[in-house]
Amino acid sequence: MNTTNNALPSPASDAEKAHPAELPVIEVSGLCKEFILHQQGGTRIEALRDVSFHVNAGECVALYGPSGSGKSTMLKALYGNYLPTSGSILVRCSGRETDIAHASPREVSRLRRECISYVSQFLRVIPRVSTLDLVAEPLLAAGCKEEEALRRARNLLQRLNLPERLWNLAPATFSGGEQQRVNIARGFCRPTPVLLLDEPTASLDAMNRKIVVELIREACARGCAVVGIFHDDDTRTAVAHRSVIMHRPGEQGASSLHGKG
Amino acid sequence: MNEPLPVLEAESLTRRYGERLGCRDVSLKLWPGEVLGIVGESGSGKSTLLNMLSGRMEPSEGRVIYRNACGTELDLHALSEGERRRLLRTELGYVHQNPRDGLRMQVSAGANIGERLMAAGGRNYGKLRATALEWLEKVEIAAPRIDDIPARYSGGMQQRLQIARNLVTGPRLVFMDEPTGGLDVSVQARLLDLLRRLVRDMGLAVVLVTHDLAVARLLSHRLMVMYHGEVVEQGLADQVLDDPHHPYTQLLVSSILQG
Repeated sequence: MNTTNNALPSPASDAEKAHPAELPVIEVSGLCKEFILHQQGGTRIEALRDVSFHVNAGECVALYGPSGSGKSTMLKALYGNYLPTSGSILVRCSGRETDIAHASPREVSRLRRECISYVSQFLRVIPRVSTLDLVAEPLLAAGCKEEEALRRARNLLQRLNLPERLWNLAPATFSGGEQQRVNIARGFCRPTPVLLLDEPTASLDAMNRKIVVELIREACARGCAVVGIFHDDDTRTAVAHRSVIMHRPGEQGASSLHGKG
Repeated sequence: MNEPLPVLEAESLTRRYGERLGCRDVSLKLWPGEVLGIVGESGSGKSTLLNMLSGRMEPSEGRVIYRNACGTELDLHALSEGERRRLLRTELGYVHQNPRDGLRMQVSAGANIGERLMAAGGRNYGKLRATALEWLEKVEIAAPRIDDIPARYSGGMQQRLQIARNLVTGPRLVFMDEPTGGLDVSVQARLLDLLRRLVRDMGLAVVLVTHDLAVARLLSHRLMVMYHGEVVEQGLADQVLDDPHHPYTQLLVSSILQG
């Protein structure tokens, strides 16, 4: 399971040169998450135990481990979608340091608006909202002018090879791969300092996977801190500078950091 | 960086109905541009809370502060009836579940919109009518229907007209009580899309009461979950729905039918 050490190419060194003395953009320390299922007799499920890692600007870190090891939970905690039981998640962006694990909903909202983009595993379709509007929405929410937002949305959809005749339709009837490309365009539309990716290439063909790899590398090149879960090893090795090995809590103690950095 | 001040603040709102507690010790703050969803089953106290927040029901304890565009703090329940009504017709809005409660059913759609504009000081007939037409277009009602009375509209159109009537004065804060309740699913989708756009484009602050968690997720930034008159959980809308902590919220979320 732990064979990924140093298996990755290392564009990391470039990122480190570019941002030598800066503090990490993301710093996760001692993170624990336990779910208590009150409807099922108070069953406790420990999803994360004492997870720590950091991500520098310009770096892509992969969360890596078997199913059930808490990768998705970790990513959701980074987005403020899951509330950790203990530990901290520092995010440094636009001159501020915020602990997402303890921030008020309003602060998390601000962080999401200004700093964090998130590509979820599945597109949440909104009735009647067209593909183009869905992709442009995060930009509009951040205060971008409509014309500019739509221009960027079109560019990305074009790059991801989504046929133009689909742009004005709501994506409810699209195939899985088409929906995922809409989701990716939505996530990459806004050049934020932090990018979270939950299996962005899971249902894409080779050609589109390659484009997503390019997009991720471009994000890193402009200094974005990327955390991702990658479905296939090829994509992971192509984009990740390092991997954080995740374990099911209790199986191997704390998660640890491998690879360069 | 200058943080904007809340547009609405409630402090320890409690309402008793005789021995029974309708709502207990609820405090909240709402900022400009923010949609706060209040969810819970019927009888949980969410309508009681909405009525107190909007100045329509006197709390047994606590107070509600509305901060107007000039930054002046107004204690909603300390205002005179006249002042409160003037506010509700201009800077505040209230969208009822049943459009019949929020519209005048026997005057034309145009007059329904114009009436609120006049309450806000509009006098020029041509301008009133032009603005009414503009708003009918925004809520997707065909211009020729301007002279029809709402009684001749479908339920979905009535609800869109009620929204136009509320928003025409450019309010800063709008209260909504189950705005999509009682509508067919397709009609509801259209209304939700419309509300999302208007709220974003106008930077409205909204307190939205709904029992429909999908509606709450789609429209709200933050959620408060009410149970037996108390707030049992609150947070970012997606966080509360995806990682609910309180037993009652978990029950609510696990009861949603998968479409």
